[in-house]
Amino acid sequence: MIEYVLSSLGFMIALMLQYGIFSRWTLLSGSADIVLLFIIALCLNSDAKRLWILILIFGAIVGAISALPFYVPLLFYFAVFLSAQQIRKRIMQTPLLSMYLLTFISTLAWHGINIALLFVKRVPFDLSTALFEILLPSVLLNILLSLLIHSIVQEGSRMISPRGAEA
Amino acid sequence: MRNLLSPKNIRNLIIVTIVIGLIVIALSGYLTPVFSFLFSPTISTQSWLSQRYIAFREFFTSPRDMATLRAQNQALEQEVAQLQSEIVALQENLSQASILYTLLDFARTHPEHEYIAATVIGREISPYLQYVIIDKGSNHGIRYGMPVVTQEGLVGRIDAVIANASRVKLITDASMAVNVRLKAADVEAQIHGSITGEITLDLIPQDVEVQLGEVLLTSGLGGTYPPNIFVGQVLSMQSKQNTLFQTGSVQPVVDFHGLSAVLVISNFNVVDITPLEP
Repeated sequence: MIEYVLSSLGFMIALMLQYGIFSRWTLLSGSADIVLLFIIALCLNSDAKRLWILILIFGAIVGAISALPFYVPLLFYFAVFLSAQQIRKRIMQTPLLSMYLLTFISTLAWHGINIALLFVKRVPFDLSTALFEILLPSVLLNILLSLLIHSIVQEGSRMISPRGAEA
Repeated sequence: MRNLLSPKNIRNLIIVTIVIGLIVIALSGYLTPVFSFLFSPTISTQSWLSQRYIAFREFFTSPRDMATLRAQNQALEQEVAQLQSEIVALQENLSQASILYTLLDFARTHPEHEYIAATVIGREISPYLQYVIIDKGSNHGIRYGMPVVTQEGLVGRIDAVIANASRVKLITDASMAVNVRLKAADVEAQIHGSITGEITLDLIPQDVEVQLGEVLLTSGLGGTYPPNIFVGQVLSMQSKQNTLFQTGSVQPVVDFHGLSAVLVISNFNVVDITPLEP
């Protein structure tokens, strides 16, 4: 139970930091997404059985606040959760590599979805601008911050449930 | 006379003479080596004893002094920290007050509108969308579609409202189009946002000569914004022969990256022309 409470608390802190600081802290026009990084790190480090419910709630909260359609963050974060489960099964021994890999793929996918939504809404924009001024700087910032977020979440997860303690 | 030269008096006289002589010799400095030789062991012993005593006294008294000093130091540090935080709070209040004064000036110069002041508390999570979150919502009288300005000019309009917060769609958003008027040329045009937050000017006929630095004001067409709100200045113009209209880039008057406080125009009735659109 404590894991769910602390995960929710961590998510709220990440959300506030994202909206208050990181969305304004831009490289060209790209920005880091620490909410996404927190969710990836949580999915890779948490052993909670009903984490998927928490992820859906997190997605719903972001969907409610964001100007994006409500279901987009909801489904995307759940997809990140499923991807993290698959990656944990395959490269369990190197969590940092998993974090980097999932951060890279998820950021690309998240930006791909954003660009697709612009296409669907028929919003005129320049694709090369989107790639070079938003996507690539965002990927760089996310990769740089992923180590920090992963370390924080991993330490927090170890403090709550030390590895091997349940065995 | 016999009594004066008695052996006793002569002895006393000799003693007095010797003492006076020794004093005179001592005062003249001739006995210094002798004194040094005699007093040196005493001084050394006294010095050793004094040092041991001081060490002994410090051993018992210093901890109490250190504890007192530490407590005093801690109290002073706390006081300094408190004063520093008060200074920061006062500076913050001063900054906030100056912003509010400027907003108030704007409200005074545009008395035809009613305003609700709000603070910007967040920015949209998607870097492709240009939205901000403000700390006033429906409980404060804010409704969907209300125009949002600052003392500098047009910011955007209310896009979503909850009880105590609202989401503002900025004029720099890629899906945003605002009808404007070029003040000097007296020509209607339209501005568009972009995914990177830049603003472009469009729909200017080819025969119109636009000066760089030309002021853009809202035209009021479309019923979304009140007329004559400052939007920006023309930064550059591009004219191609095979196109119907000229385009240009606009320097907005509002610093959208440093947006901290805004005014929501609460008495402007937004006209919804969506049903009339083809």
